Amino acid sequence: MTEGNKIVLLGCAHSAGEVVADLAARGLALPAHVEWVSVPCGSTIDELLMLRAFESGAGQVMVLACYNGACRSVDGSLWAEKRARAARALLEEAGIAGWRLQFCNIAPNMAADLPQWIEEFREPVVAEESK
Amino acid sequence: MSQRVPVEKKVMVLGDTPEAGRVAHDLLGLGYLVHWVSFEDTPIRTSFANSARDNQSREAELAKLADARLAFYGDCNLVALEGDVGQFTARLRRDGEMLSLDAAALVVATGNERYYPAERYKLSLSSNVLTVSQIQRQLDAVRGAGAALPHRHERILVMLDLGGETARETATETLRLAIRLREEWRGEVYAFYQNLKVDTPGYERLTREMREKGVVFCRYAEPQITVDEKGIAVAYVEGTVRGELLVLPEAVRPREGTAELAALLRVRVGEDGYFQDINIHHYRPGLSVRKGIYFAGRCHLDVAGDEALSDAALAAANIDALLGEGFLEPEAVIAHVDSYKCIRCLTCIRTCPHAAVELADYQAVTDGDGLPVRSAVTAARVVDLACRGCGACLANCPVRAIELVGQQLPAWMLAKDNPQEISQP
Repeated sequence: MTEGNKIVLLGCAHSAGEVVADLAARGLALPAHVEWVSVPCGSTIDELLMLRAFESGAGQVMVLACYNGACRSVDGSLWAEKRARAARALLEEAGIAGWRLQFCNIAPNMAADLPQWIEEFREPVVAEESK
Repeated sequence: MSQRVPVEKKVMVLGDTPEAGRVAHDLLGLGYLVHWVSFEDTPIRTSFANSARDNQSREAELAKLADARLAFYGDCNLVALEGDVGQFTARLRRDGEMLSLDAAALVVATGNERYYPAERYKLSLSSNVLTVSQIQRQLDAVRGAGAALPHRHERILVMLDLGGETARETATETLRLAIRLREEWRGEVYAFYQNLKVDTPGYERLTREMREKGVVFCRYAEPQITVDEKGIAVAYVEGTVRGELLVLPEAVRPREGTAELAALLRVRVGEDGYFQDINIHHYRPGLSVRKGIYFAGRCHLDVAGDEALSDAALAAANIDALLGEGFLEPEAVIAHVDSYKCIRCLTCIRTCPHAAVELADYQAVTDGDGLPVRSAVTAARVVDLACRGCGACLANCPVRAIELVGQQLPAWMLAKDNPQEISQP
């Protein structure tokens, strides 16, 4: 794994955490370049947490929270989405492309979708590398 | 573990409904002390349209539960709810006197409210347009006195879903009534519907029974209903059906004062005006946003009578899952406020979705020699037992005075709050 290729998944333990556990139980571990960080709820993911992920060498960060209305703490997914938007603005201000930070709503039964999202998320990076 | 806090098995049940009775009944069976509080004739009003039936079942339940562990407080007005899970204190006013009740947990089972939706139906009630409960009263009266049957052998039209879907509770009552009309008045019964959902337990069996007993089902889209002295005519896609009597279900709406009660209890009310459950992840309906407060029955769900009772049983089971061990323990990850960093901006108190943060006086801390280490201070404090560890307070805190205790984060995410520690480019 080269520096800058790393994808950090910042996700709510109640939805994304279940998905990651589900994948592990099926023997489908996340790719080596993906680092999974579990937080108790989307509402605790603030801009600083996302920027620290980039600071630690991540090339891309994906923020995963529950669907709106399905949050155990009522508004967690809304907080996460709002803060992802703010963090993207901060990144762009610093000259880092905004697409490197992505926000997705996820439900615990969406284990089939996450690997595909990661694959799609990586596409622009792969295209850049192959140039 | 030292963090275990012993709790009394004492529960407060709010409401004057069959489901409140079921919660009380189940909890008594599990060995709990129950305070049953009813708001009737108070600013938080109970105005059940079917109060006679409810009072009856309440009396029946009470007689069954004549027990030293049950205390009933009628005509009370809830003024305030203090404390958190394990030690709620409710302040009640009754006949101008103040009353304090302690409870470890609380169940809201205030039910809903019946009304006749004249605007939605665009029909006014008359001698041949009657509501389900009016007919029920007629049927019951006849049964008691052996009087003449008012609509014997007549053609009776039962109309569901007029101007919008009928609630499960009243729809079930209407279908049960259709069977009774068929059996007791030997009427020719036509059941009009737009969208008959059989997702309520027993509903499919009920509709099958209706078909077997000869109730005619008619699906309609845009009906033309005319009421005159000759009777009722319903013109719909398949033609016109004439009848002597039109039966309409009543509608339900959130009980008056639901929003005020929710504000007192610091729980949420949904867009539909009913109490709102917490999420769907761990499938346990009836949990409120606050630990230790549960909802039961029709105050938070659109359910028929029997299902409201099973929901009440679930609320009792949820309470036993919480208090059954006799102690409470904080969750594995909870928030903690550094009282010295706190600037008392109250942001956390406002943002906490679980109402678990309060303003508190912290004691002064002295070292072994009695020298002051920290002076007394007023700051935010997270109530450990009420905290669900979501971290909403922490992300919102402008001075980063809050941390999540027990949270595992990778090393690269931690210990960089001090700008000097961040490496220079």
